[in-house]
Amino acid sequence: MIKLTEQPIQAQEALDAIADCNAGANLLFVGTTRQWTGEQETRELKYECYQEMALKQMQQLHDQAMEKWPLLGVCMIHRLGSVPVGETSIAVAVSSAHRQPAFQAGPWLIDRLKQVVPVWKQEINQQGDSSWVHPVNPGATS
Amino acid sequence: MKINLVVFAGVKEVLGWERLEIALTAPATVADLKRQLLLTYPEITDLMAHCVISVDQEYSDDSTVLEEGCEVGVIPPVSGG
Repeated sequence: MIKLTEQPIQAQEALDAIADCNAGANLLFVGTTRQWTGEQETRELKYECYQEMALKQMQQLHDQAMEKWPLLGVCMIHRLGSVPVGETSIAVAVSSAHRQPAFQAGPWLIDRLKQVVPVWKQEINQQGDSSWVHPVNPGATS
Repeated sequence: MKINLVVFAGVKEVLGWERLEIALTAPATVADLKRQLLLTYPEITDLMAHCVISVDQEYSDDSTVLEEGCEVGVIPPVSGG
Protein backbone atom coordinates (compact mmCIF):
# COMPACT_ATOMS: atom_id res chain seq x y z
CA MET A 1 0.00 0.00 0.00
CA ILE A 2 1.16 3.49 -0.95
CA LYS A 3 -0.43 6.54 0.62
CA LEU A 4 0.00 10.29 1.08
CA THR A 5 -2.20 11.81 3.78
CA GLU A 6 -2.79 15.06 5.63
CA GLN A 7 -4.21 13.09 8.58
CA PRO A 8 -2.18 11.72 11.54
CA ILE A 9 -0.63 8.34 10.72
CA GLN A 10 -1.66 5.33 12.78
CA ALA A 11 1.25 2.86 12.66
CA GLN A 12 -1.20 -0.01 13.03
CA GLU A 13 -2.60 0.85 9.59
CA ALA A 14 0.81 0.08 8.04
CA LEU A 15 1.03 -3.21 9.93
CA ASP A 16 -2.50 -4.15 8.89
CA ALA A 17 -1.61 -3.41 5.25
CA ILE A 18 1.28 -5.90 5.22
CA ALA A 19 -0.43 -8.61 7.27
CA ASP A 20 -0.21 -12.01 5.60
CA CYS A 21 -0.89 -15.43 7.05
CA ASN A 22 2.39 -16.66 5.54
CA ALA A 23 4.44 -13.89 7.16
CA GLY A 24 6.77 -14.83 9.99
CA ALA A 25 8.35 -11.35 10.10
CA ASN A 26 6.66 -7.94 10.17
CA LEU A 27 8.99 -4.93 10.25
CA LEU A 28 7.83 -1.35 10.95
CA PHE A 29 9.76 1.94 10.73
CA VAL A 30 8.10 5.05 12.10
CA GLY A 31 9.70 8.45 11.47
CA THR A 32 8.73 11.23 13.89
CA THR A 33 9.42 14.95 14.23
CA ARG A 34 12.44 15.41 16.54
CA GLN A 35 12.46 18.32 18.99
CA TRP A 36 16.18 18.91 19.26
CA THR A 37 18.78 18.66 16.49
CA GLY A 38 21.99 19.73 18.20
CA GLU A 39 21.13 23.14 19.65
CA GLN A 40 18.29 23.75 17.20
CA GLU A 41 14.82 23.37 18.70
CA THR A 42 12.06 22.39 16.29
CA ARG A 43 8.35 23.08 16.87
CA GLU A 44 6.97 21.36 13.79
CA LEU A 45 7.84 20.22 10.29
CA LYS A 46 5.72 21.16 7.30
CA TYR A 47 5.70 18.80 4.35
CA GLU A 48 4.70 19.46 0.77
CA CYS A 49 5.00 17.21 -2.26
CA TYR A 50 4.64 16.82 -6.00
CA GLN A 51 1.74 14.45 -5.46
CA GLU A 52 1.45 12.69 -8.81
CA MET A 53 5.21 12.11 -9.08
CA ALA A 54 5.60 11.19 -5.39
CA LEU A 55 2.96 8.46 -5.72
CA LYS A 56 4.61 7.22 -8.92
CA GLN A 57 8.05 7.09 -7.27
CA MET A 58 6.70 5.39 -4.14
CA GLN A 59 4.95 2.78 -6.29
CA GLN A 60 8.21 2.16 -8.19
CA LEU A 61 10.07 1.65 -4.88
CA HIS A 62 7.31 -0.71 -3.76
CA ASP A 63 7.64 -2.73 -6.98
CA GLN A 64 11.45 -2.74 -6.90
CA ALA A 65 11.48 -3.99 -3.30
CA MET A 66 9.04 -6.78 -4.20
CA GLU A 67 11.39 -7.80 -7.02
CA LYS A 68 14.60 -7.59 -4.98
CA TRP A 69 13.40 -9.57 -1.95
CA PRO A 70 10.83 -12.32 -1.34
CA LEU A 71 8.41 -9.98 0.45
CA LEU A 72 4.76 -10.60 1.20
CA GLY A 73 3.74 -7.01 1.83
CA VAL A 74 5.13 -3.47 1.45
CA CYS A 75 3.50 -0.35 2.85
CA MET A 76 4.63 3.30 2.76
CA ILE A 77 2.53 6.11 4.24
CA HIS A 78 3.82 9.70 4.19
CA ARG A 79 2.09 12.54 5.99
CA LEU A 80 1.82 16.00 4.41
CA GLY A 81 1.20 19.41 5.94
CA SER A 82 2.09 20.19 9.54
CA VAL A 83 3.66 17.45 11.70
CA PRO A 84 4.28 18.67 15.28
CA VAL A 85 7.08 17.32 17.52
CA GLY A 86 6.57 13.69 18.45
CA GLU A 87 4.07 12.95 15.68
CA THR A 88 4.65 10.55 12.80
CA SER A 89 5.64 11.82 9.36
CA ILE A 90 6.32 8.44 7.76
CA ALA A 91 5.57 4.78 8.30
CA VAL A 92 7.28 2.03 6.29
CA ALA A 93 6.33 -1.60 6.88
CA VAL A 94 7.37 -4.83 5.19
CA SER A 95 6.54 -8.46 5.79
CA SER A 96 8.22 -11.68 4.71
CA ALA A 97 8.16 -15.37 5.56
CA HIS A 98 11.51 -15.10 7.39
CA ARG A 99 13.11 -12.05 8.97
CA GLN A 100 16.17 -11.42 6.76
CA PRO A 101 14.34 -10.04 3.67
CA ALA A 102 12.30 -7.71 5.90
CA PHE A 103 15.42 -6.49 7.74
CA GLN A 104 17.10 -5.75 4.39
CA ALA A 105 14.14 -4.24 2.54
CA GLY A 106 13.00 -1.88 5.34
CA PRO A 107 16.15 0.28 5.47
CA TRP A 108 16.47 0.21 1.68
CA LEU A 109 12.93 1.54 1.27
CA ILE A 110 13.25 4.45 3.70
CA ASP A 111 16.72 5.36 2.36
CA ARG A 112 15.53 5.35 -1.26
CA LEU A 113 12.37 7.26 -0.36
CA LYS A 114 14.51 10.01 1.15
CA GLN A 115 16.58 10.13 -2.06
CA VAL A 116 14.01 10.04 -4.84
CA VAL A 117 10.46 10.79 -3.69
CA PRO A 118 9.64 14.46 -4.33
CA VAL A 119 8.60 15.53 -0.84
CA TRP A 120 10.04 18.61 0.87
CA LYS A 121 10.00 19.68 4.48
CA GLN A 122 10.18 23.05 6.08
CA GLU A 123 11.44 23.26 9.62
CA ILE A 124 9.58 25.64 11.93
CA ASN A 125 11.54 26.59 15.07
CA GLN A 126 10.24 27.77 18.44
CA GLN A 127 10.36 31.41 17.27
CA GLY A 128 8.12 30.51 14.32
CA ASP A 129 10.89 31.02 11.73
CA SER A 130 10.80 28.59 8.83
CA SER A 131 13.53 27.18 6.58
CA TRP A 132 13.54 24.56 3.85
CA VAL A 133 15.47 21.40 4.66
CA HIS A 134 17.49 20.56 1.57
CA PRO A 135 20.08 17.79 1.71
CA VAL A 136 23.32 18.55 -0.13
CA ASN A 137 22.78 16.13 -3.00
CA PRO A 138 19.83 16.32 -5.39
CA GLY A 139 17.71 13.20 -5.23
CA ALA A 140 17.77 11.77 -8.71
CA THR A 141 21.54 11.40 -8.88
CA SER A 142 21.69 9.01 -5.92
CA MET B 1 5.21 24.54 -28.55
CA LYS B 2 3.92 24.91 -25.04
CA ILE B 3 4.90 23.01 -21.91
CA ASN B 4 3.50 23.13 -18.38
CA LEU B 5 6.05 24.09 -15.77
CA VAL B 6 5.54 23.27 -12.11
CA VAL B 7 7.88 24.38 -9.31
CA PHE B 8 8.18 23.49 -5.62
CA ALA B 9 9.53 24.40 -2.19
CA GLY B 10 12.21 27.12 -2.24
CA VAL B 11 11.88 27.74 -6.00
CA LYS B 12 8.13 28.27 -5.66
CA GLU B 13 8.73 30.65 -2.78
CA VAL B 14 11.17 32.79 -4.77
CA LEU B 15 9.03 32.86 -7.94
CA GLY B 16 5.72 33.36 -6.13
CA TRP B 17 3.80 30.91 -8.34
CA GLU B 18 3.50 27.15 -8.73
CA ARG B 19 2.36 26.46 -12.31
CA LEU B 20 2.93 28.27 -15.56
CA GLU B 21 2.52 27.53 -19.27
CA ILE B 22 5.76 28.28 -21.11
CA ALA B 23 6.34 28.66 -24.86
CA LEU B 24 9.46 27.02 -26.31
CA THR B 25 10.80 26.76 -29.84
CA ALA B 26 10.58 23.11 -30.93
CA PRO B 27 12.55 20.91 -30.89
CA ALA B 28 13.64 21.61 -27.30
CA THR B 29 15.47 19.59 -24.66
CA VAL B 30 15.62 19.94 -20.89
CA ALA B 31 18.90 21.82 -21.35
CA ASP B 32 17.17 24.36 -23.63
CA LEU B 33 14.40 24.87 -21.09
CA LYS B 34 16.91 25.37 -18.25
CA ARG B 35 18.73 28.01 -20.29
CA GLN B 36 15.49 29.84 -20.99
CA LEU B 37 14.41 29.66 -17.33
CA LEU B 38 17.67 31.16 -16.11
CA LEU B 39 17.42 34.00 -18.65
CA THR B 40 13.82 34.74 -17.65
CA TYR B 41 14.22 34.18 -13.91
CA PRO B 42 17.84 34.96 -12.93
CA GLU B 43 16.71 35.09 -9.28
CA ILE B 44 16.58 31.26 -9.17
CA THR B 45 20.09 30.72 -10.58
CA ASP B 46 21.60 29.55 -7.25
CA LEU B 47 18.66 27.27 -6.48
CA MET B 48 18.60 25.80 -9.99
CA ALA B 49 22.20 24.61 -9.57
CA HIS B 50 20.89 22.03 -7.07
CA CYS B 51 17.63 21.15 -8.83
CA VAL B 52 16.86 18.27 -11.15
CA ILE B 53 14.16 18.28 -13.81
CA SER B 54 11.28 15.85 -14.19
CA VAL B 55 9.34 15.33 -17.41
CA ASP B 56 5.85 13.86 -17.04
CA GLN B 57 6.67 12.84 -13.44
CA GLU B 58 9.88 10.95 -14.31
CA TYR B 59 13.42 12.15 -13.58
CA SER B 60 15.13 13.39 -16.73
CA ASP B 61 18.54 14.63 -17.84
CA ASP B 62 19.67 17.54 -20.03
CA SER B 63 19.25 15.57 -23.24
CA THR B 64 15.61 14.59 -22.63
CA VAL B 65 13.46 15.92 -25.48
CA LEU B 66 10.34 17.88 -24.47
CA GLU B 67 7.04 17.20 -26.19
CA GLU B 68 4.11 19.56 -26.70
CA GLY B 69 1.96 19.72 -23.55
CA CYS B 70 4.35 17.81 -21.30
CA GLU B 71 4.58 18.60 -17.58
CA VAL B 72 8.04 19.68 -16.48
CA GLY B 73 8.88 19.83 -12.77
CA VAL B 74 11.74 21.75 -11.17
CA ILE B 75 12.72 19.45 -8.30
CA PRO B 76 14.86 20.88 -5.47
CA PRO B 77 16.82 18.38 -3.33
CA VAL B 78 14.12 16.25 -1.73
CA SER B 79 13.76 15.99 2.05
CA GLY B 80 10.91 13.60 2.76
CA GLY B 81 10.76 11.06 5.55
